Amino acid sequence: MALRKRENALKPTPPLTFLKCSECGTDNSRPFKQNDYVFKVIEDEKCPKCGSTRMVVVNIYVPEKKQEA
Amino acid sequence: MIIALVWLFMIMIFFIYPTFGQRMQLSYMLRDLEKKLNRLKLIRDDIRQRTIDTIKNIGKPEQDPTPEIDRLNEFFLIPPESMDPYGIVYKLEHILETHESVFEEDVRKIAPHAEEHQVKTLTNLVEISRGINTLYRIVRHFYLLGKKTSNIYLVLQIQMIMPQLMEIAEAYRQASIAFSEGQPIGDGVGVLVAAKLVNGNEKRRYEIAKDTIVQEIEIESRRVLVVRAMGPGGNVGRPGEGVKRLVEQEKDNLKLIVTIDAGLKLEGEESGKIVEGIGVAIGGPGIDKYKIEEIAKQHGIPLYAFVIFESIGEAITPMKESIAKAADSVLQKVRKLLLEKVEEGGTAIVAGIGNTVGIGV
Ligand SMILES: [Zn+2]
Repeated sequence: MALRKRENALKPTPPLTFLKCSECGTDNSRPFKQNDYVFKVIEDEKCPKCGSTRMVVVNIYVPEKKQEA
Repeated sequence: MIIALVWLFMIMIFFIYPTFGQRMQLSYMLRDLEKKLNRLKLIRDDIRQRTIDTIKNIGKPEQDPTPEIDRLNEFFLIPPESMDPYGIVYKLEHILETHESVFEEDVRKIAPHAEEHQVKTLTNLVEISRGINTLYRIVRHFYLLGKKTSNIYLVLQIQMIMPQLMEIAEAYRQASIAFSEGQPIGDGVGVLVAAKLVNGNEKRRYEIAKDTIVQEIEIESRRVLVVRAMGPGGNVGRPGEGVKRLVEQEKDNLKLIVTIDAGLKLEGEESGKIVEGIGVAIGGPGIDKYKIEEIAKQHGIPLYAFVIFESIGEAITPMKESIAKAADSVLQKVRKLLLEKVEEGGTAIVAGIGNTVGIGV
């Protein structure tokens, strides 16, 4: 119980998957899904710009809050 | 009469007080330790449960894997005797390799439906579960021993390092999430650099040692052999053996060996800071490091290293932005170094060190 309560507070931010469209080169990101990996070719999702269904995972990481400069 | 009693009372306080104070302190410390031990137990059970669930989900075993996982959680490894250190590296290598393959084989057995790369990641997950179990057992040992003997110095020792241990336990918990989902971790940054270096330019690929591949690329008419563990399953491969075999194969054409790895930062330093130097950047038990140093010395090949700083927690938890961004800068530095130190037509080895979980090829 105690762990559950703290777990919510400590819940790690899930990483984002960054995709690059093979057709038009547009970058976009979405929350990480199981079985994603860097340089995986994804063929069942649509590019938000040109609608192509061939995209490559170029990065997976946990975004950090920008520190004020 | 009353004065005598007061005196007696004062003397009693004088003699009893010092031990009394220490007892108070001891019970306070034990209470604190007990709280942390309970939290440690919760984390351990959480990781154990996650391991069981993931194995059930991915491996789809016919029987309940729980007893097998509990058995693996207590699995041990006895390091070789160091009284006579001659040849100890190879003895240690033998023991570690046997351990690794037995462990992997057992995980494959309890997860019959997992794909090959998933078996590797699940093996890592079981190792984490075993790691936290060991940590818990050690802390409990000191707690109970301290309680039994009322020895404040025993308790003091474990209490002093407790904050770091709790940090490691928390990192283990997050690592178990990362491995159960197959997310890249901070330790993978070396491999990430290698993967980005190769991306799209690969001319030839072959396996050089167990779970370790070589990818040949060309950078401005310099031949570059990139050594890394095979992904996207969680796996560190055998970069030492890989580089050794490559050097034996290429002999004196080699002009440079570059290793890239994540390294432990000091408190106060920023994560993702890149440092460079001479030597072999590989952590772990030292076998890979030893092998590369030995073969490089035999053939007189210079050793160059890049290290990306991160904390111990960051190394085993999902990769952070600053570390992923550092991979791009290291990539530029490696290219520059290769152009500077290797003349046209020359050959160099670049070894990306780290765990490949979530990093393809
Ligand atoms: Zn597109």
